[in-house]
Amino acid sequence: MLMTRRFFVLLILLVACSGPIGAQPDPATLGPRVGAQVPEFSGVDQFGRRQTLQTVLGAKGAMLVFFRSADW
Amino acid sequence: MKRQGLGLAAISYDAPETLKKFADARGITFPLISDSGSAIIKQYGLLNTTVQAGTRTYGIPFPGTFILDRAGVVRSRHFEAAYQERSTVASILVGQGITPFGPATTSETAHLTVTAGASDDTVAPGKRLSLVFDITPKRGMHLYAPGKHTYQVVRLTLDQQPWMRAHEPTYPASEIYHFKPLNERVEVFQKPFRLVQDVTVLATPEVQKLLAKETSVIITGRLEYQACDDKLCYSPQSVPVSWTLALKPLDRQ
Repeated sequence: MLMTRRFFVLLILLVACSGPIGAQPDPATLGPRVGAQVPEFSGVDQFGRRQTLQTVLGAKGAMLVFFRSADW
Repeated sequence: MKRQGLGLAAISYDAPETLKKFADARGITFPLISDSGSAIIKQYGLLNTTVQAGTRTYGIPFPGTFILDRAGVVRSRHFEAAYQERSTVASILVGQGITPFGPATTSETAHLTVTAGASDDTVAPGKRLSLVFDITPKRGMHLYAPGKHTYQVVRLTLDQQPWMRAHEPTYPASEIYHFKPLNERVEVFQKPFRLVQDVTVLATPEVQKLLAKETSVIITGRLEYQACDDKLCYSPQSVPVSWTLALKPLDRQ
């Protein structure tokens, strides 16, 4: 009985620590679709300048790239 | 891209100092936008949900690229199943018809004129580039588009290479040709059109080892088609094509 309790405590701890991790989604389902308006955003660039969707857009539009990291 | 009137920005979850170091090392002058906390990444629905919360890499996006019009509406989107693989900028712009493709060769057959080229003259493991054909059927000729018929569809058949994966070709909209004697309606191209075939140079360890000492790669294949006019259908044709592309190693920095 003691072993069973220990087993359940361990199991609960493992589940609590693991957190929800999703499966690899279909890339076609990610983010705004063709024809959709993308959300406004605001962030600081490498020069300390405030950048928004409006500052990024050129006369004919823009290429917006999401990348994993520049650090690893 | 500036010449084309297009802005460019890249977004990651890194701190501004990290992005500055990265940009300085590579001479990057376009904006690298810091999204510490991943608010933009979440807002765009791109948070990588396969990463466990609380870990160093939590907050990264599924990598991808959007081409937006002047109003911020998505014109095209480019996501790959494997993060090591990415369309080249030139490939995206050529695919959108925004820029012409690089050095090209033009040849002529009895039925058409074809100008063939590639979006990039240099590739690296993980790069997805476009092989492009601008095809003009001769007067009165039509070529067959994908559809419900048994004619030879115009297509590029590539010779298989262990370091390369070919994607589905991209065709423009076709038109219906009505052949009255047989009351037959088929999907064809009669006007100039562009056929785009993307290929990815694989980034697997095996391929990197295979290409380690190479400074170029050669892609070979055949442009296959069948042409007909109002009276005659000609036998299926096969035009040999090849591209020699400079090869760079994978950027590991």
